Amino acid sequence: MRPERVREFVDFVSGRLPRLHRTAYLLCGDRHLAEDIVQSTLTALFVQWKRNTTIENADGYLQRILVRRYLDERRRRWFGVLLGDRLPDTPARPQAAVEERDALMTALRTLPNKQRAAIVLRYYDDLSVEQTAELLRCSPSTVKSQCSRGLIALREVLQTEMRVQS
Amino acid sequence: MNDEQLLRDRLNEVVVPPMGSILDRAVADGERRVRRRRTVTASAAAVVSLGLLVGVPTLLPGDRDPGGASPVNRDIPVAAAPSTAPAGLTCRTAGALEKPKNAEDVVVAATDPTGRYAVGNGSKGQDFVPFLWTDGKPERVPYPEASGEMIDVNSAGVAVGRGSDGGSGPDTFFRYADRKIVELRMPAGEWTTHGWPQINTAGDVLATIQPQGSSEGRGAYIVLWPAGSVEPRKLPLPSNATSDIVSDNGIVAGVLRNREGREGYDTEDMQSLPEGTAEDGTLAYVWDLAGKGRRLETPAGWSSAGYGISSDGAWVTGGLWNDAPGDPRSPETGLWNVGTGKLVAKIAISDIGSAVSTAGQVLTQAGGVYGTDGERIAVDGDTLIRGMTDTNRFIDEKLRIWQC
Repeated sequence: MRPERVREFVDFVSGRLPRLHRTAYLLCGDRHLAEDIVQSTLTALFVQWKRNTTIENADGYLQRILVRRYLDERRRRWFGVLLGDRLPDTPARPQAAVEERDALMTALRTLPNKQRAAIVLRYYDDLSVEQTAELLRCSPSTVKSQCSRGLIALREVLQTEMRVQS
Repeated sequence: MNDEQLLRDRLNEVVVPPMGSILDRAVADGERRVRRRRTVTASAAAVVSLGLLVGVPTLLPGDRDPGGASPVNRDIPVAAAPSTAPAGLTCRTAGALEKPKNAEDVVVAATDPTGRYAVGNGSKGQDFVPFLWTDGKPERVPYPEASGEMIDVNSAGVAVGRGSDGGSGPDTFFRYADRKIVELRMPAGEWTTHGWPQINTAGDVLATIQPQGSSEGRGAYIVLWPAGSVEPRKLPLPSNATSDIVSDNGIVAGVLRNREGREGYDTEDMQSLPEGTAEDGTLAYVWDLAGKGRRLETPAGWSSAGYGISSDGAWVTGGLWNDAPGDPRSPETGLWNVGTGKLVAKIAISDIGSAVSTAGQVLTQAGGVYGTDGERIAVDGDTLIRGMTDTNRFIDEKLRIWQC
């Protein structure tokens, strides 16, 4: 790729990187996995960047890839396939102590994957029900249903924090 | 402060660990990937050429179909010749469903094939409020727990839905007929719902259930509640299959996941997929109730899934995804002829077929209607359709009825 195209790519991605990373971390709750997902997403965009002079709705493309990578990654783990050179997480991850202090992250991890994705996309990325449905390949009513159940599951944590603060 | 706003605030406050030099690694990896793709493309072309020269038949007598529990049987019952809708339909309004009182955002979820009945849901806070319409008149379905979601209804007015107690209890499926709700029992053990079941004309309900605490269908299997029964019957379908749709003549359409079951993963199609293909790719399949399966045509390098079957079992619709590395994997809508297994239409609309009529008209999740030629049927410009019958009658998102 020509140097100026690489520079365009870096400029485009740099400003979006913190938000992408936060989305990935909220989705998977694992520092290393979040980095893997974001890196994989950016790599996919880079390959497209190489092929096209312009990418229509590159932000939407990034979000789609990120969500697919997250869901794909979760499935791979369920099926017990170890890909690449990374070892699977163990209970004693170095960052675990930090993560466990956040009750919301702990609660998020207990949600089924698509439910968690619906919650993160709707309430962190501020996507509409329809946009979320497209990303998750499901109907808008499914998104509503998933968010409803997710909110119910998280309600106790949220309300407890409210009471503690007040 | 309500829960939604509280959650928004808290998601922004979560402390995220610092990240490494992701961008540099992505650029380096991307450069390598671009180079490798060129090599792989050349290799794949060579493999295809070799296959053509050798001319191996795709299916030999005695071969086992990976989608079925028994040897391949091409005699799955189907309609002899699927019918198609006439081209160039013109549509006019034909009334409207009465809007229920005291419910917000009421949307139709499905209609029966004749159009006499419809089911839908409003909302109250985060809960569904379920409704059944008969000849356009709504009745609130008296689901006793926090949230009841109507899913489908047949031409006898028997509906199926899913309920939740709003707490930690598992979701359950229920039938609704003659103003009575009957819960469909789960097998022994701890199970919960997975997917959105259809009900056929006889009243059979098919669904995939999964162990509590599981998700995405892991450990799931497919069960049938025969008409009038609340006892589940486990169907002898592959362990890596999921479905919640069954036609009147007992054809089950759904998805064969390729990762969990070795049979599915080793199919000819999957071996020909290019490098980087999603290893959990899926294939659209049909089975009979005895577990005899047939793969629906899926282009090499693509994943597919069946999400809707016509009441006569002649058509299946669903989604197709390009598994090529770097592809955004936007869905396309697929329409298959069950009798031949052929992909009749592949519609690049970034949408998924969710229902199909006996004439092969496809209703997509986003609310578009398409004919067997892949062309959109303009019911009323871009009006979004939520319910489709077998008689060219449609219901839009504003509860208006259209006759085409």
